[in-house]
Amino acid sequence: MQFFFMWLLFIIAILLGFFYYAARADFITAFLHPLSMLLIIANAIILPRLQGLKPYYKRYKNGIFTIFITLLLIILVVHVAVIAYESGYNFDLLIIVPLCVGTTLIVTGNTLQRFKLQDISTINRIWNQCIRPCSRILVIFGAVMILTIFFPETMTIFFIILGTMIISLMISFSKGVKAL
Amino acid sequence: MLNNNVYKALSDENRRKILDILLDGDRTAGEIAEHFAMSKAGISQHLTVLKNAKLVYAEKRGQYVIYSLNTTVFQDVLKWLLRFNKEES
Repeated sequence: MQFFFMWLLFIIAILLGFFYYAARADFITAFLHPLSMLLIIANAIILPRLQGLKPYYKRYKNGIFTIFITLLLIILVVHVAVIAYESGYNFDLLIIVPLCVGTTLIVTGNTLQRFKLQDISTINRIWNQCIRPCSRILVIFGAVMILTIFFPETMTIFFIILGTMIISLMISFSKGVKAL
Repeated sequence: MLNNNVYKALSDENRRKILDILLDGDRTAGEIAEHFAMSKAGISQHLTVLKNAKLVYAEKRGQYVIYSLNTTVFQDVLKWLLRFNKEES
């Protein structure tokens, strides 16, 4: 079902690309996003076959697919927006940046908290105690980023929030490393 | 993300307490039962509800079943909200 939905999104994107290419003959705009989507689908096909990930894959399968499907949806939204803009629809294309980044951060952060590894190595402990707790920061800043589309000077506020988020993540990470 | 199973699982105070215990680390059913004045069978039932809602993950290690937390950020927020709701009423 999850793969069906992923392929469906890809087919919608590639069909849109073909229609646009037939009208404008602009290969990059028509097929850049569908090709990116194909890379994500390839990732979803390859991941379960990697030996190193097999012990974890069953537990985290749903979370991984949620992230992949969200990424595909976002790329499809960007694809539709770019094609609409290039076809003459006049709107602020930059407004989709905070929307897409915010959604990605919320979905990734929300699911990231589930990805817990066994405390058998230093790398696993760093993941559990330093990276995993950052999930809440990602969700909060993702939600704030989406809200920026309702304010004037969206991109300025977006970059301020992005900078603040990176600083918060670094502080959280360093605290986790000290606590190890 | 927030289906009926999740809401049902988080509605019970004992189950929310189990999730709080698992915040400190992975535990066996016996270790969780030490925090409650109820039978191990009762704890086991609560753990089954949490497992079905995918809020905890059960993994067999040797002769023990280890339970670990498997909540998302939104589920944590819902847990917090439901606790607040209970205190209000």
